Amino acid sequence: MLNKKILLLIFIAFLTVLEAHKIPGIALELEKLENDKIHINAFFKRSKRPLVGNEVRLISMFDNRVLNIGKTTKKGLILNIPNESYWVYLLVRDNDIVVDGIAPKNGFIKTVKKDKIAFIYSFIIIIIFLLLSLIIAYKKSINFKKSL
Amino acid sequence: MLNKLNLKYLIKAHTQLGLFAIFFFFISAFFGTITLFLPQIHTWENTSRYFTYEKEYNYKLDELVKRTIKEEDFNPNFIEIKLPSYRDNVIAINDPSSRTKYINPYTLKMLDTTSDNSFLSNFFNDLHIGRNIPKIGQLLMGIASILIIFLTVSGVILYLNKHKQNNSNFNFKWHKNISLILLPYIIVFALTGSVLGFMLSSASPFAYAATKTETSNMRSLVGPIIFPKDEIPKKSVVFEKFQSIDGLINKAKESIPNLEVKTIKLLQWNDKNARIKIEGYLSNNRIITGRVNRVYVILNPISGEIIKKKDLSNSHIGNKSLSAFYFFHFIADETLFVRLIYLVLSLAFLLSLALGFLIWSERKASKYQDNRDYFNFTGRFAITIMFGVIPATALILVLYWALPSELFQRMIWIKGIFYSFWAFTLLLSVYYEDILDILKALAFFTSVFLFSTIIAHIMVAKTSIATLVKAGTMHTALSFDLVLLILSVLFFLFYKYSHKIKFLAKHSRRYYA
Repeated sequence: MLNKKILLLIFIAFLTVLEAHKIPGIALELEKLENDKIHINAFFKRSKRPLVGNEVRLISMFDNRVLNIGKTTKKGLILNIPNESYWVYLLVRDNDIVVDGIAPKNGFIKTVKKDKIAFIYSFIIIIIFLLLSLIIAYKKSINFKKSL
Repeated sequence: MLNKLNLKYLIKAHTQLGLFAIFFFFISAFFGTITLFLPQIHTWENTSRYFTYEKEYNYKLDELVKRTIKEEDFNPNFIEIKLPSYRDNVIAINDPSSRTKYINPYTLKMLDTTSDNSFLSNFFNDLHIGRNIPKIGQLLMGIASILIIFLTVSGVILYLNKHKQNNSNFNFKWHKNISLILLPYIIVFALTGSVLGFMLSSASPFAYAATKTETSNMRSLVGPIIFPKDEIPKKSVVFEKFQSIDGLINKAKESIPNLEVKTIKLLQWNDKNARIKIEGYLSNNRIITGRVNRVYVILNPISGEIIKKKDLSNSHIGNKSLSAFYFFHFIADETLFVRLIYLVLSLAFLLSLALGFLIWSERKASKYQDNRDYFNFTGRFAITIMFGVIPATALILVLYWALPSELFQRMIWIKGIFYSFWAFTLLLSVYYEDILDILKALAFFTSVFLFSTIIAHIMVAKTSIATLVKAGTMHTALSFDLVLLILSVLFFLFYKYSHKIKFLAKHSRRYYA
C-alpha cells in the first residue's frame, strides 16, 4: 500500500539544509605565503572587483577569541597565521563569509577536530524515526490487506 | 458547458494534482501565516529590543550622525539611516562595509546586539519559501503555487458546471464555500507565490536566450532598471556649513505631501558635493509606493535646494504594478490590524486545504467502513504534515531559549531537533490506531512546549523582562508571551475535551462507537 510517490515526498521534505555563511556573489580566497603568512583576497565573483575596507577577523575555533584583525585593501590583506585552528571571517555589512583557515608550515600547535556532530546525530535520529514509521506502516497495511 | 467526459477528467486532475500540491502548499501557507507576525517575532527573539516604548520619539538626527561617524569610524561616502518603523522600532545606521548599528530611538543609546541573531524569523521565512530544501526547494514551492492556480481555476469551472451541486457532505460543502469566498485572496497569493518561487528562480534560461548567451542571471539584467543604484558624487574636500537633517526632512515632506520617511541616505557627507536622499512611502498611497517603488527627494544639504525628485508622476508603470503586486504578498508597511485580517483569511485557507484533503481520504475510507484494520499511509502522512508541524514549530521556540548559548553549532542543533521531532510525529501518527488519539497527543505536546517556551524565555531574559514589567507598559515581548500562554491553554483544552466535539468524534473509531 505504501505509495512510492509519497516516499519520495518524505525524503524531500526532510532533507535539511545546514549550510550557513555564504553570500552569493562574493568570494573569499586564501593563499599561503612564505614565513607562515596568508594572503586574504575578497572580491565580487562576477566583476572580479575587490572588496575594500571590509573587516577581516581570524577567529579561534576553540573559544571564538579574535586572534587577528585587519581591513581589506585593493591588493587584499596579509596576516600572520595563528598557532591554533581558526576561521577567517569577512564582514560584509550584517553578513559574514566564513572559511576555514589554512594551517602553517609545521601544522597547528593546537588543532580542533571538526565533527559535524549536530548534523550527523539529527540525521541518524530522523532516519531511525522514518524507518520505524515505515516498518509499522508496512505491517499495518499488510494486516489490512489480509483482512480484505 | 463541459461535457461529461471532460468533466470527469477535470475532477480527476483536480484530485490528483491537489494531492501532490497540498503537502507543499500547506507547509508554505502554515509558515506564511506565522511570518505575518515577523515584526513581533523579531522583537521577541532579540533581547536588545526590550526597551520601553514612549509616546513620541525625540531624536535629532544631526547629533546622532555626527556621533556615529566619529565613534564608529564610518565611511562618509555612503551612509544609510533607517528610521524606526513598525517592522523594527529602532534607528539603524550603516555604511557599505561595517556592521549595522542599532540605536534606541527614545534614549539614543546604542543597543548591544552581540547576542542577536534573528534565527527564528529567518528560519520561518526559509521554511515558508522552501529554502530549507537545498537547490530545488524554492522551485518546488513555486510549482506548488502554479498548481494552486490550476486547482483554483478548475475548482471554479467545476462549480460553474454545477458539479455535485446538492452534495450535502460536510467536507465538500465547506471546501467549496470557503474556497469560493477566499477566491481573490487565494489567487493573489498563488500568483505572487509562483512568480517569486518559480519565475525568479528559474528565469536563467530566458536571460541566457535574451542576451545571446552572455549572462544567465536575470537579476543583473533587470536590477539596474528596476532598482537604479545611488550615484555617489565626487569628493572635493571643501567644507561648508550644512543645514540640519531634520529641517531637510521637513523640506522633503513639503515637496511631496503625505511622505512617510523610511530611509535617509547620506552621500559624500561632510563635503561640498554632499547629497542627501530622503526616501519613503506615501501614507495615502501605500499600495503603489511599496518597497520596489519608493518615492524620494534628493537635496543639496548646503543650500537646501531640490536636485531630483521622484513621486508618483514620474515613476515607471512597471515599478508601480510590481509594487502593487508585492504589496498584497508582503504587506510590509502595514500594522497589526491588516495582519490580523490576513491571519483570519489564512486560517480559513488552511482549513479549506485540509477539508479538500478530507474529501479524498474519506471517500477512500468509505469503502471499508466496517473494517477496523483499515490503514491508509497517505492519510497518516498528511496528519504529520498538517498537524505534526504545529508541535514541531512550538519545539523550535523552546529550543531557541532553552539551549545554552555557548553550545557549538547551536542553530544546527535546533534545526536538527526540529526535523527529528517532525519525523517523530510521523511515527506517532502511524503508531496510533485512532485519528483523534494522534491529534490529542500532538495537542498535548504543543501545549507543553508552548508553556515551557514561556518559562525558558523568562529564565533566560529575566533582567530585561523585569525592567519591562516595572515600566508598566505592554511591550511586544510580553504580549507575545501572553499569546503563547493562551494558545497553550487552548491546546490543553483540546487535548482534554476534544472527544466531546461531534465533528472530531465522527472521525474517531474509539470514542464514537
